[in-house]
Amino acid sequence: MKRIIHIRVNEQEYELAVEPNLTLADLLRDELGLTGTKKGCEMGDCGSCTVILDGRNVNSCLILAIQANGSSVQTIEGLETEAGLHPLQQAFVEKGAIQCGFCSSGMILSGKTLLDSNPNPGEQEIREAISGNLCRCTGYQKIVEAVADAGSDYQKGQGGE
Amino acid sequence: MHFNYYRPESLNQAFELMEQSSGQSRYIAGGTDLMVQIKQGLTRAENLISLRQISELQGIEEDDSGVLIKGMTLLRDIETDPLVRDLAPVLQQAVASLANVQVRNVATLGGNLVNASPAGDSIPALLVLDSRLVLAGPEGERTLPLSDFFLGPGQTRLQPLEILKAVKIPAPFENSRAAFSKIGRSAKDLALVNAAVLIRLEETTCSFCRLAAGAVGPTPQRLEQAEALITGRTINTELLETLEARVRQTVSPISDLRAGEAYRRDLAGTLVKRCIRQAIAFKTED
Repeated sequence: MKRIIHIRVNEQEYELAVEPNLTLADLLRDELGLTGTKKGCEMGDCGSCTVILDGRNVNSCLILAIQANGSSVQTIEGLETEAGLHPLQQAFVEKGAIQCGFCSSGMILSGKTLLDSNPNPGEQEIREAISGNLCRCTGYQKIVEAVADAGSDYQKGQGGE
Repeated sequence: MHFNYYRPESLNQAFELMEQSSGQSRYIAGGTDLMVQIKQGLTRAENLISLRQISELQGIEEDDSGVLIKGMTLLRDIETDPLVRDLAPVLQQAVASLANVQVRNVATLGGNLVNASPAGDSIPALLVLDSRLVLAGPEGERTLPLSDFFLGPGQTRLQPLEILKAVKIPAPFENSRAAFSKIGRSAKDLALVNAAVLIRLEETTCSFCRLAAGAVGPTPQRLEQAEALITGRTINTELLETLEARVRQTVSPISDLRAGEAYRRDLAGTLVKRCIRQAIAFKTED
């Protein structure tokens, strides 16, 4: 039986009827058309479905849409503003931290969760923060550099919210 | 994957739902294990009763004997909590080694225990801290030592309606130091073996210790023979080597696709020794 949920996605309010077994990943992709959130392993190992739920990065494949009732979700589509790309997105472009792109949205959102609480992380902290995000192209070095670069931008006051 | 989903707001509502539901019903905490089991068809559940909305199951508090961590506390919150840092840093060390941030942002301490995996990372740390569990059921609450909780892989002493309400961790006694260590295929993978140690030193003599290991038997376990071997003795390289050999002999791991039985025995000895070295190093830095 479908249930009504209220959810805020990228600053927009939705009232939706969902089946209890619908995952948040499927809600975002299939119901709201936000296909920037990727589905990889669907077991919570790869991190490609990472979104920010009430300020925390989570695997949206392991969360039921119904569990997100009353919550606020940020997906990769919510990062760009009228001013342009988010500093993390810009840093990924400039550093060449994107190869096939499948892990990028999850990497950027895990990086954002880190930088929001700690804009000047060390390399070890960055590697820890993205340890739940797998890059099958193995482009980790550029990704770590991009997060560090974006952190410097945060500190110059160009980033964050 | 078809099920009904319930969101009780109190323990009593949860017990009632569990009692009245027909068919296969499960309580669900964070769901990072249960959701995967359901998706893979390993667990069937017609009714999921979520414990997320129950405020009685949330929070970390100081109590008269130490620290009380409620069952639905997120692993990530334990990792960053100042009270846990002061009173049970070894638990933070263990929890931080589990999976990744995304999982720890959803997974709960109660879930890690009730899941009763022989490899659960919080368990050896809580065993050496001599933790007790508060179990709540429709008839009231009961308390039992964590060391009595596990019956086998996935099996615990929880009664069908009962919920793990809280974990009670006694405050550390003076001069005691603890450490946790694990080995997985990659740094934060499911442990091939994990271990924890709590040790009190008088000069260089071990006056008291608790040793525990996981994934070396059907349940995580205290290593009592190994504890007896070093208690009252001077800790030196020779004793640690004897200890390592004793641990290898006393554990009873299995072979599976992650590691062979002999390799797990070796790891258990190595990790217990490593934990003691780590714990002692912490002490000498003071």
